[in-house]
Amino acid sequence: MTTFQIYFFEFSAIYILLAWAIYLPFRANQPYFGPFYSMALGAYFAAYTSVHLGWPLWLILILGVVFCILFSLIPAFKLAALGGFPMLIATMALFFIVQTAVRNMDVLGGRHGLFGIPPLSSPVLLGVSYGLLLLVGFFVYRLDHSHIGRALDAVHFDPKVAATLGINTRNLSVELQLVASAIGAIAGVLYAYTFSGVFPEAFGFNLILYGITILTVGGMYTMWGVIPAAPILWGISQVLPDSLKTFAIIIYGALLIVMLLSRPSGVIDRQTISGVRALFKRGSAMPEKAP
Amino acid sequence: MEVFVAQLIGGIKLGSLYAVVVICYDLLILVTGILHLGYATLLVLSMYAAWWVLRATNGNLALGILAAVASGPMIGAVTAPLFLPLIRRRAILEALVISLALGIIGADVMSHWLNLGLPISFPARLQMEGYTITWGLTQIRMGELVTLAVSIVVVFAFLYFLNKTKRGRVLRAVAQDTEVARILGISVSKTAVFSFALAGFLGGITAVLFAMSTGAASADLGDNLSIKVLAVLMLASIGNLKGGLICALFLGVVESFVMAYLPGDWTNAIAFSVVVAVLLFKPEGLFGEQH
Repeated sequence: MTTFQIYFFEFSAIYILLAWAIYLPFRANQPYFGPFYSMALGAYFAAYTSVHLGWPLWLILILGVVFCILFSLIPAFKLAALGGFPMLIATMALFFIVQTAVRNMDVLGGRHGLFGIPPLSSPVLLGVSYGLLLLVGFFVYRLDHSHIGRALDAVHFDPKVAATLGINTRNLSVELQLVASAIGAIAGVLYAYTFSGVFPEAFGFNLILYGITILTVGGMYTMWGVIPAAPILWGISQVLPDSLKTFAIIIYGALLIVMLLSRPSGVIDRQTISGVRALFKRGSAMPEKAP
Repeated sequence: MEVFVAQLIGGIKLGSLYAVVVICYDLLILVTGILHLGYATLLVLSMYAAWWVLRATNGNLALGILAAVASGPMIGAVTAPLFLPLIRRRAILEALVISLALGIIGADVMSHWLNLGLPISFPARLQMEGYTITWGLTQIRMGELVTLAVSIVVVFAFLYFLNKTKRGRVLRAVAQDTEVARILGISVSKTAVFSFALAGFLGGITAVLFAMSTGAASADLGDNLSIKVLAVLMLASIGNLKGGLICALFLGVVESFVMAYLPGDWTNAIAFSVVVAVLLFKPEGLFGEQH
């Protein structure tokens, strides 16, 4: 496989993971940007422990996830009580704190980044990435179709009614934040291994733009939308001819704006999914109405 | 002692500039319900407009200032239609994502095409280089004092406009209760466009003041500015004008001293640590809600 193909498959997996991490809290109307800093923390955790301490990948994955969950647990309860705008700004603030901190800490390589993770062979890297992707995907699917998924729907439509139905919205929010951070951490560790290192510029406004665009264009009301959206959107920026490559960010931004104005639920919404299901189901030609 | 006083004056100047920008954010939030994350970047675009006109007219200061002040409301009015359908739907999250995309597009245009992406600098005459007040070891440029004076005048003129004129009362009515304002015959859409144009106008003035006090601009100035303004908004609680003014001045002074006495670019991290601490212990902000 060429380097480009490896990058393509790796980044598809990483961005799908990142988009799922943002998708879960979004379903409960929680604009939680925690996965972005979890990704940065996970990537730096992987780089530091691998380069300076020589830990193996499996240990880094487990402890990286634990580290990010613990980090996210500190503000989780307060963030759950905040919700809305304040939650968004607080998590963005944490994102910038993490960014400034890693940029100014010499032990993490400062502005130059931290490189030198022992490279994995491409089959191992892809195997690990897609294994984790399947695992996380299965987990998100089960979560969506459990009583928690139904609780999420209830909170999405009316948090107050959901609360009267006996849903503990605060605990639900905390759980979502922790799950999202864990998925973000996995994406971060994979990111570090793909590049054999990390650098602070990777975790800027552009990462937020990519994550949000993939989720919004793919469809933020179902977990399936991001699966085609991540490779296609990341791929667009790579296969553009050089003369157009400088426009990549503008194309992303314009796509995001057009999408939000014309079809806020994204290309793939629940209607699409139930339509696809109906195709394979004999007898019931009518797709069921879904939000 | 002289250094201390000079830093203090510099800090107050910086704080009063932040105050004007914070007012614009608050105006947009209260009237349209939009947290305009790209606003600061659009403000920097006005600085680029002034720079472009200055270069084209061989440094005609009056035309340059006019270009900045006129481009502000124009940018505001051009971008307002993107938000109008979302304002009507009260789709706050989508509007926020669109504003983020606008900001990223603006920053990308500046970092690729305007002046080849290099930082721009304004003629020394705009900063009134010749006129300085010398006091002991320190020198204070006239431009800085003018910036301070003008921004204070702008803040008070805005407060007068908001509280004493009919147009201002319309803005306050929409901010307080959109539905009731609509019932009373106020066109919410027109008011929203007006607030965008007004925020753009104030942004244009601020752009001139920034050019006057710093003498330079670059593509990432908008991001830095919006990070700081978000910090102020969170500290003062969103939509609180008076609290915003106090916090803006406070942040300006703190930033001035941190830059003078601490190494590295830790200002953002410190500002945001304060924000996160305030959010965790007093989530409604230091000054609470005020509508």
